[in-house]
Amino acid sequence: MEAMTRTTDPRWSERIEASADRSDEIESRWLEVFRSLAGGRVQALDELYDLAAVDVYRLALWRMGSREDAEDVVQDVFVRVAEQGRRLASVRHPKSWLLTVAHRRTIDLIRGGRRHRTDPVEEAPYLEAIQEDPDLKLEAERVSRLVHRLPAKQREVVLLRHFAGCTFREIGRITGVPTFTAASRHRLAMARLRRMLEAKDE
Amino acid sequence: MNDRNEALSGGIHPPTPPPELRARALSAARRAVNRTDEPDVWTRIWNSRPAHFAWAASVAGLIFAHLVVPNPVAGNGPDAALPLAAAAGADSELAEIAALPRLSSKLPGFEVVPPNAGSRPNETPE
Repeated sequence: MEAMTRTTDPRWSERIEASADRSDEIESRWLEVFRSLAGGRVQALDELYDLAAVDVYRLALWRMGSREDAEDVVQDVFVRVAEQGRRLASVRHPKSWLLTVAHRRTIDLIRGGRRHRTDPVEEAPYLEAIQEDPDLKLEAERVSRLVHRLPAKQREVVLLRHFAGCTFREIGRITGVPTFTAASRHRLAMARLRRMLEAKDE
Repeated sequence: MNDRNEALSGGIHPPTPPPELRARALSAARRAVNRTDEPDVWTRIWNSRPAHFAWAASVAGLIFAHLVVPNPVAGNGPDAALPLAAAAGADSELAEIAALPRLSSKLPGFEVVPPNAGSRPNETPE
């Protein structure tokens, strides 16, 4: 989690520029896949899954705190996409659109009370270690507990910003709030996480 | 995840979806595609050849009827102002009975007052 705040590194700006180029490339791939689907090419669903499933699953998991619910959301989102048919051709920001569908689906499930009751930290950790490293595992568990203490709206913004690579404008579009509100939520969340980390370290 | 996110997460990241979810989500999506491929009832009616024939036949029938069947009001047929019995050439007494007396200005006792007469017909001037 320390790394989340590591923004003063000089190599950081180079990395951001490189990732901006890549994000343009990814955006055009998204558009291509949506156009293929709108044209009736069902095989494009596989490509869309490769592009979108991880972000949709993570968004749902961080909102719902349950692996089963997150899986349901992924499935529902793909069904919704398939039902759109030709209308997909008119989607201008496919990634934002898809994550918006996922966001709304989580809200529907939460409001409808159709959630699996689980302990999110024990059964569905918000963060996992990339490698089989015991220290990293402990760190992941520790930060998961802290993330769990964030309000769901702030948690969602942190995920979209740091793990889905969304801009604040995109986050605003996805969550249905102004860009400023999205940025503000992110700032509050990071400040809170930092405070909690410092309190734990002491 | 791209480099930026790797750097941000510092060795930890949110879980990825389980592998078996792929087949489940995609098969549900494919089923949905097949469902949406089937046209709804209105599309089927719109594209139906018998419905097209029925529509064309009814339009042709209406045009034919318009041209062939005489229009009584337009003056081609029997006088619409006359009662049916009189028009049919029945006897004149029957026609007189069938006439609407209150609407006929030719009947005795019925006076037509000009609109700017200013007084009612039964009033006597002083």
